[in-house]
Amino acid sequence: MATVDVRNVRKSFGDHEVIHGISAFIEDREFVILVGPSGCGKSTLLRMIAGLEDITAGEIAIGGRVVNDVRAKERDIAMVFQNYALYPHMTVYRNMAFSLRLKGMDRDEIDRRVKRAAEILNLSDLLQRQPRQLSGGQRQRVAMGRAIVRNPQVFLFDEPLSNLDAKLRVQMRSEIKDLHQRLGATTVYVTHDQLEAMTMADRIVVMSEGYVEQMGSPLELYDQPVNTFVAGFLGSPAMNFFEGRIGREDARAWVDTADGTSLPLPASAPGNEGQTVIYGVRPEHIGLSGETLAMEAGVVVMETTGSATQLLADVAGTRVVAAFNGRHVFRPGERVSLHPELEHVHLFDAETRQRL
Amino acid sequence: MRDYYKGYLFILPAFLLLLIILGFPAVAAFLQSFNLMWVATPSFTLGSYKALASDPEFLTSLMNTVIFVTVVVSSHLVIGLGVALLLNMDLRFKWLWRVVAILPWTMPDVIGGLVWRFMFDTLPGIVNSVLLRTGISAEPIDWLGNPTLAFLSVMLAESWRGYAYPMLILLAGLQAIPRQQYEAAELDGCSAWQKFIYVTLPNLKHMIIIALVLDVIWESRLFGMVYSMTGGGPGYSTQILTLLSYKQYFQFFNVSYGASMAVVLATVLFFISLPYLRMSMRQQL
Repeated sequence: MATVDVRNVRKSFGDHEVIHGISAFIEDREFVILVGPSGCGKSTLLRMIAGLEDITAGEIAIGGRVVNDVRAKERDIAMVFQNYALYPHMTVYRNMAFSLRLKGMDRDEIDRRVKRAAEILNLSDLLQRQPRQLSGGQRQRVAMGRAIVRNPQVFLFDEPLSNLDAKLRVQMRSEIKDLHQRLGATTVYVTHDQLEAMTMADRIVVMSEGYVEQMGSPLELYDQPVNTFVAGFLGSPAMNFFEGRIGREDARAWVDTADGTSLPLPASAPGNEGQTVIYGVRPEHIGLSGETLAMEAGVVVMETTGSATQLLADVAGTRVVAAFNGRHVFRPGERVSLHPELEHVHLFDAETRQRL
Repeated sequence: MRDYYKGYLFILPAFLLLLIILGFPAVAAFLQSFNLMWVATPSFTLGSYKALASDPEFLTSLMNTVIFVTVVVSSHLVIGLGVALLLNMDLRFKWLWRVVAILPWTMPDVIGGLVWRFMFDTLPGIVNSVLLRTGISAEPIDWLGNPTLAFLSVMLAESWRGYAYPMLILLAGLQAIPRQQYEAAELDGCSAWQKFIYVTLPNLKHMIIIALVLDVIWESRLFGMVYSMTGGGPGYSTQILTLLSYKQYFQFFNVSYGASMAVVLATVLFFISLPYLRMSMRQQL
């Protein structure tokens, strides 16, 4: 197993630069997820680590060895593709054995490795099937088996769950996580799904438009997002934002929005009086009662999942989402008081959109 | 239910047209080959078919057809696959190369035959003048006068004229291969050649069969190219079945005999097309 060191990497297609000098260090045995909206460059970065794209500038080192000029097949990495990319004319067994056969590995050793991987992935009964006879989840497992048998230094996953239905995705999520814990392999995983990133990663790299926005553990990013992009990208439903000016008096602080709502701030909150800020609060950090200033809201829509209740409300023209544990009943048009939890309020500079 | 009938209405004109220009001649040839149509006293006989079996000219032409189709179709597949692979790469002016690659196929086969006849001409032909000027040959070569050379020349010319059709089929097949399969093969450690063997060829298998069957049918029915280039000569050396059938039917007016050859050819081609028919039926079900 190995570390992956990305140093000031750039990528251009023609004159168009899509990755603008990214650095990231991935520890040995770490599970790192690159996440961001489509077009943010996460897949391109992964493909550069794999050796499927040239590196325009900067360096990538795997296990301490700079691999810029090392061909993909010599980088000792394995990749799982979104559409599985199985060889359609080969059985499951041959799909998994293929890379080992190319290496000229001895038959018994190949057989041992394929059978062990099949056992880990619950594929033992399917070894003689063709890919077209398998379900989506089974194909995904074969694609992982193909990676496992090689015992590579680094596993790369490119949106591996995007082609699966919602239920299977949740199941495969824990399977991949479990697999990582058992094999202890350094893993770089690309997804656009923040939920996958939050639930699976040791560390998340949030990317946007070819830049790294923030890097850190899921909860670090969730609790201390460095800017409004990260704050809005992680978490579902997304964080609520209001623009306003900070007001202070004695030991009290608040934010006044343009439409006249006052939002509560802890006295210790950063920022100067009169400063224009973005006020952020997550839906689950809004309560129905409290001693803080409240947002007077009109109920628009209520959704329930059985275990939780989600409320879409209108606060003087701004849509606000609040989420509550358990069951509550709201009627459209009903007036409610929404109380942001002071200790969970985020403040960002309105201009730079960076955390204060 | 009414839409169902409307569908038939829409295909009716095409169906009638096919019935007249293909169906009628096919039935007529079939009846004529048994001496049942357009003769003074129709009476069923297998005479024409019996005569075929012992006619050296027919057997020579049949052999010529087999050799011609085998060689031409093989070269079409090789050239077609090669060109398709080139056109499938990231090239500058890709559209231009595609147009150039398809040009030979846009030429009517009679014209193609004439062009090649001029090129292979003994005196002013470009092939001989290049050979003479570069000193490769001291004397002009009678390409179309020598039986072996004439047959080779015809096959060469048709290899050029007809490769674009299988090429287009194979190119469509190549473009349908997912890029990730090549990338997975790259990561698995495949060389360029191994990628061709393990990814390209298996994915292209169906398209190759389709191209093969259609091209065999196409080339077995070829007439204009050979007729205008050599007329079947010298002797019978470039005479393929379609030329002999035409000669017997329209020049010697051996209606029954000429028709029986057409029926034999059509029957053979029908059986060759079975795998293709089965494949396309299965896809529609």
